[in-house]
Amino acid sequence: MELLCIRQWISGLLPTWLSAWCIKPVGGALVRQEPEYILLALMGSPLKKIMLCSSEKEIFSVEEQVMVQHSVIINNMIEDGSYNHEESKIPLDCVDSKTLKKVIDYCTHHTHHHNDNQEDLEAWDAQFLNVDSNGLYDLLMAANYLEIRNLLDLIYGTIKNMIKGKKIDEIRRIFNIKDHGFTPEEEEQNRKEYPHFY
Amino acid sequence: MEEKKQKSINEILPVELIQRILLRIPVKHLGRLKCVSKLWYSLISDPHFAESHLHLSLAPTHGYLFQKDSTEAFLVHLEEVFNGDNYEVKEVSFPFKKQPPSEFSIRGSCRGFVLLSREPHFFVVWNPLTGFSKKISYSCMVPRNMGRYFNFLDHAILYGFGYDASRDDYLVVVAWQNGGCQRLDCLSLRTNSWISLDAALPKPLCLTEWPSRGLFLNGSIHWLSYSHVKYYCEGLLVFDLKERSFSKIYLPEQLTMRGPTTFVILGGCLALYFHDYVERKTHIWVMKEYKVQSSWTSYAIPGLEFDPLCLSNGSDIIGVDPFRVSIRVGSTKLVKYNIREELLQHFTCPSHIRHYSYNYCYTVYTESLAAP
Repeated sequence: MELLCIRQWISGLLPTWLSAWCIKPVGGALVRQEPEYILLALMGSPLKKIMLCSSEKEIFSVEEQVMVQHSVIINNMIEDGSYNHEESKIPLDCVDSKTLKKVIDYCTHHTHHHNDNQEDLEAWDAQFLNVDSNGLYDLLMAANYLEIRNLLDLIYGTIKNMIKGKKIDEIRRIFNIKDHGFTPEEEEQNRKEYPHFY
Repeated sequence: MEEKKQKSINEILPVELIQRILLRIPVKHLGRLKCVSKLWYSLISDPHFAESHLHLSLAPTHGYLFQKDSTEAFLVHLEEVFNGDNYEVKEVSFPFKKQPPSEFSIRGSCRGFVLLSREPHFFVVWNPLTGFSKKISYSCMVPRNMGRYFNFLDHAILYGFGYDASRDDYLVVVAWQNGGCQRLDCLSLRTNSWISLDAALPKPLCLTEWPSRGLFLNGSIHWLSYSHVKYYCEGLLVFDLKERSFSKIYLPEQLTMRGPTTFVILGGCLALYFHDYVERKTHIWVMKEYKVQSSWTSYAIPGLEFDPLCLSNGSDIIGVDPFRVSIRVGSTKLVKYNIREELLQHFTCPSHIRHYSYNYCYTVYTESLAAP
């Protein structure tokens, strides 16, 4: 309680306290102190929710702070005022419901658990990405569209590990590349010149 | 559902995402990945891709090339050597026609290319990752009466190897002294021709030693400059490759140190270092922001014999504890310290592989697929 009074006093001195204490994300920079989070709630601004609409027209309600911290696109929409809290929903026509739900899960977990230790977060991330290839591509495209930096880094890292150290035939199998696009002569030439790659 | 399962990554992801994935793969794996599919081949072979990869430098990998003697050199991949898997230091096979090779000297590197000098009178520009090499002769610069008595070591004052982005050209810059006369020449790799820039050469030239090796950074080549009044390093001589003119960066007062000073590029920043024989440490000063005096930051590595080579993971310093003949019999060691000056790891080279620090014939280059 005492802490709250001090912070209220300070906030009175700083007209821009809202922007000072809230987060200005750059797609995933999570720097938030829990007291301020509580302060926000207690100061009478309820945890604002925003509506996201998937390509299948399903509506997802999610805390504004969560999405604003992670997604540069959504943050920009909220900041420039093009999003009206009373009426609007943000249409995400290129993200299907299943993927959108996962993206929201990721952002929500990382917002609420950012103080967890590194190992726990990494374990959660590993479990989160335990999906099939198609699911991974969908997540990648959604994270790219919404510009969620830390999710992008995570997925790129995972794909990089899928590629590193593997032989060509195995890479083609993992990524389902049935038609490699080389002419039979080119393919034969490659195999002859670099047999150890295959 | 069934149909979606059949599709490949190339069909599902847009090309720019595939490109971004490839940009994050360490450069040494990219050669192999060209064989995966035609699309990956064309993405990786694109010259802009090599450029982006170099700029992005998400995980730059460094090669440390050093000479054992005038005919033999070794290569160490500095990021791999600490991976704990019995790293093998390999002898380098150069792209020289003569086998066994005649003498050569390592003279520097720039963006994945290594510069070597050989007698009589030519340079070799070589990319160890791709194997590309090009020979450039400077025999036309040799005064007629000198012939083979004109050699690099005896007559060059300063030299450097750099990249001029404005002309997309690699340049070798050499200043010579012959008799009383000083000359400056600039060789363009693209046109394979020399330009004389004598007028640009500042007089007097105060350098630590002759020939002085320059380091390339931010479009310019830099050399250590000594004050001819006081016996210490006062600043850096800078040659802008685009403007083709010299300027100077003066060091802040507290940095002008006594004693031998050397410099190196660490993590894209200029860094000066010297060995403190009293405190038995190596002091490193890094100019974190180019040409910003206030950005010099100091580190003290608790190792007297430590020559920094490169930055790894953004903040770990990898260096070499070279073989110093006069002090003790030992082996060349590679060491890694973190930003808090704590020793992280070390690797001892087999005893037949030695790096002699005093002959300066080594270079650290960033692996790249770039082609000139």
